[in-house]
Amino acid sequence: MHKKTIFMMLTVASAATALTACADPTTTTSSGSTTAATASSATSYDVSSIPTVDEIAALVPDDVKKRDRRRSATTLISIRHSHR
Amino acid sequence: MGLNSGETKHSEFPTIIPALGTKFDVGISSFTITTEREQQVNMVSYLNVGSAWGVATGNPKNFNPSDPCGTTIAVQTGTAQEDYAATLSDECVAAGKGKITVMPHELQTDIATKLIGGQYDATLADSTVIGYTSTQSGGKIEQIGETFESAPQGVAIAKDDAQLTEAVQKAMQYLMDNGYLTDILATYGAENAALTTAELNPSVN
Repeated sequence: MHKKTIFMMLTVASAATALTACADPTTTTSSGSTTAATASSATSYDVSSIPTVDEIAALVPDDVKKRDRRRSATTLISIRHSHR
Repeated sequence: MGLNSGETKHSEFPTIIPALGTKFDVGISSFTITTEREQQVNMVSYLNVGSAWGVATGNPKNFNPSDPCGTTIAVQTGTAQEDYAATLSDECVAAGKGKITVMPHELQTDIATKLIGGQYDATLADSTVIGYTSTQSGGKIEQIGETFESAPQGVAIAKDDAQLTEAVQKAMQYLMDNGYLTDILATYGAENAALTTAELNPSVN
């Protein structure tokens, strides 16, 4: 459980930082169940405080804009960083 | 980026890159930037992560990161640091010094508890793990010595998605330039890992 917690913190941070302006990040397991990322006991950063930058938003491809949702992938293998 | 929502799916690590551009827009999973990966996908750098030693605050066991021979250290099972510790121990023995007793654990939390309790001299883990463990322990664990064997990590985007790549790169650079990346990472004790330039496909060894 804690592996998940630990990893989640970097995942959430990374996901939040990478594309920001996604004020309500959720996580979905590969089996399809969805949980709030904030279900982790890890402290989280409120990405909603980061303003949208119009000129960057304009760069987002149309298919992503139409979807209005950015899909990112990560893994819960943990923070052990065997991911190298 | 002006999107109203984000969705993060958890997938097996090796399956993420092949699914970029179809199932996923971006992959963010501690991807160390390598030339091999840069041939497959675009990589935008944002973190620099290495290995680091952690000890109970104040270093009550007087652990010396420059000479870990004869100590007992804890690592997470299956990590690069577990292998590295074994190599270090072999070097100690070859040099006529005491071996390193390496104690593998599944959970870093177990390591933290035992480290604080005085069972181990130190732990060896990713620098971000040490930072987070320190934060979660309420300052009862601290890094000792410098981070070593650092390598950049990046966000992965499909090679043929130049537009999204540019958007991610500029968004990341914006976060860096305005202090957001550092602030976010500081929440997790990992602020020292932040890079200052979101470089596209940086030159790496």
